[in-house]
Amino acid sequence: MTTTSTTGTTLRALTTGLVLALLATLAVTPAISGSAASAAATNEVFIVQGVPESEVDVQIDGREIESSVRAGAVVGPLVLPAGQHDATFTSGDWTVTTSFEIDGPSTDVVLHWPADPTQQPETTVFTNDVGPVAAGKGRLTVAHTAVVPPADVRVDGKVLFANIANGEFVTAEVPADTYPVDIVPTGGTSPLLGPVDLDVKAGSLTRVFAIGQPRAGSMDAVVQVVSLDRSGSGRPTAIRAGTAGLVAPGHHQDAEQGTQPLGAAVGVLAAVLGVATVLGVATARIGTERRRTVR
Amino acid sequence: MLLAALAVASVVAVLVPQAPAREGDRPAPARAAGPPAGVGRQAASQVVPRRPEAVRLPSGASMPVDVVATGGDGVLDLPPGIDRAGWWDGGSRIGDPFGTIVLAAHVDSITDGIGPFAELLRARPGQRVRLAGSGAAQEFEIVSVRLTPRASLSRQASIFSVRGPLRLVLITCAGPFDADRGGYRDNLIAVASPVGRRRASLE
Repeated sequence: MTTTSTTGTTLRALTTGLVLALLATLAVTPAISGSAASAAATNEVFIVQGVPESEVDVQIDGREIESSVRAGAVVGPLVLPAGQHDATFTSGDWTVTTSFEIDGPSTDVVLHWPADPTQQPETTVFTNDVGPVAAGKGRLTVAHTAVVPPADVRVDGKVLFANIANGEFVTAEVPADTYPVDIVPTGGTSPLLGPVDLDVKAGSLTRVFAIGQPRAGSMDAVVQVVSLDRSGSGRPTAIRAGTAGLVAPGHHQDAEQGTQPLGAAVGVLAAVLGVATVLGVATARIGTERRRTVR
Repeated sequence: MLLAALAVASVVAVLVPQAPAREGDRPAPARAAGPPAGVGRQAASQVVPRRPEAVRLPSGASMPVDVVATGGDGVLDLPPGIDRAGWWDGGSRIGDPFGTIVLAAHVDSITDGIGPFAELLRARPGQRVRLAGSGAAQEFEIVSVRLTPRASLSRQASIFSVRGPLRLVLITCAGPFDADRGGYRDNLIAVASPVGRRRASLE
């Protein structure tokens, strides 16, 4: 059976001893872009091999998908119908069998150590938010699938996501940029992972899985990128927000002056025309106007 | 940091076919169904961004907020009348970590007179504005109020920015009025920063 997978090469950052697996997965399908006609047909599933120092054979629903999948690799996208499926992960040391539900257009099935690494690896299923994102932003998700206690995710040393436990994830939509990211124990400052430069591209979902265990020196981050549609409209070049001229200078009331420079500009005009008072009581009116009662 | 070359295999979606059932066959032996996988959960600290649905101005006056978009001509398509504000759909929301939340409303109209947003002409730093939507609420404190000629709005890059800490930008019209030359000359821009914690919504 033919299988395909996306694999990235890994690098070891000498300064931090960190292995970062960077993967680019382009997974735009009609289902993801919201076309109603294909909503029932295509649900994409990615298998994330998050157990360091292991090579895993992957079976889905009794069929071999890929063998000897190395840690940090993302297999897929597989197209599976909605509903329940089985997965079997086999390494030289263990076999993990699990069932999982698919109920959305994009799902990650992650094999990882639980919080207690003396147990077998376990599987956690994450439903990916592949809805559209505003122009200039990317959706960043960080999932905790590592053998560390609850952790904070920091950007440039400042906590962006707080107190994430094994099996949990957090999401934020952030301006496209390269972010120096690290993961520290909740409330702490000593990195469990990173800092590494994380590239968040506009119009994409960037998913980061923290995996491994510090004791074995195998802390790692798996990065998966999925394309998203854009939400919202472009930047306005003009805002027309008034047609009656009732608050123009010389047209009186609301005449209490605000801060500089607004105060300066209107205040000068008002003084010249002898109109303004602090309580908005006009001393001169030009024409008549209706004043809407503000409830 | 040296980035090794990525080896990206061409991505082809893999269909995992289900074995078709044929009448008269014995049922296939059941596969061993493993225990259910864990389901990834949102951390309790997760803030779900919400678009604003109501705004309360410094005087205490409240207005509903509609979603508005920029038209093909580049003009923000505000709700008609004076008693509804518009939230630009390309901007940030309550609870987003970065970028501007842009709200605009007519300061007046020929049919309805002066609207609630006119109070922004009196706005001062320190005054409070509150946004609410879908159970989320956030208080903001005005930090600046300025006039800028309408014709140069597109040069005010910071107003419609995705970058920088979350802030609220309230926009209306003000300044001299000339009906023959497009109406008000200026946009009034009031910028406000979040105060305190966002009141959590329960999702």
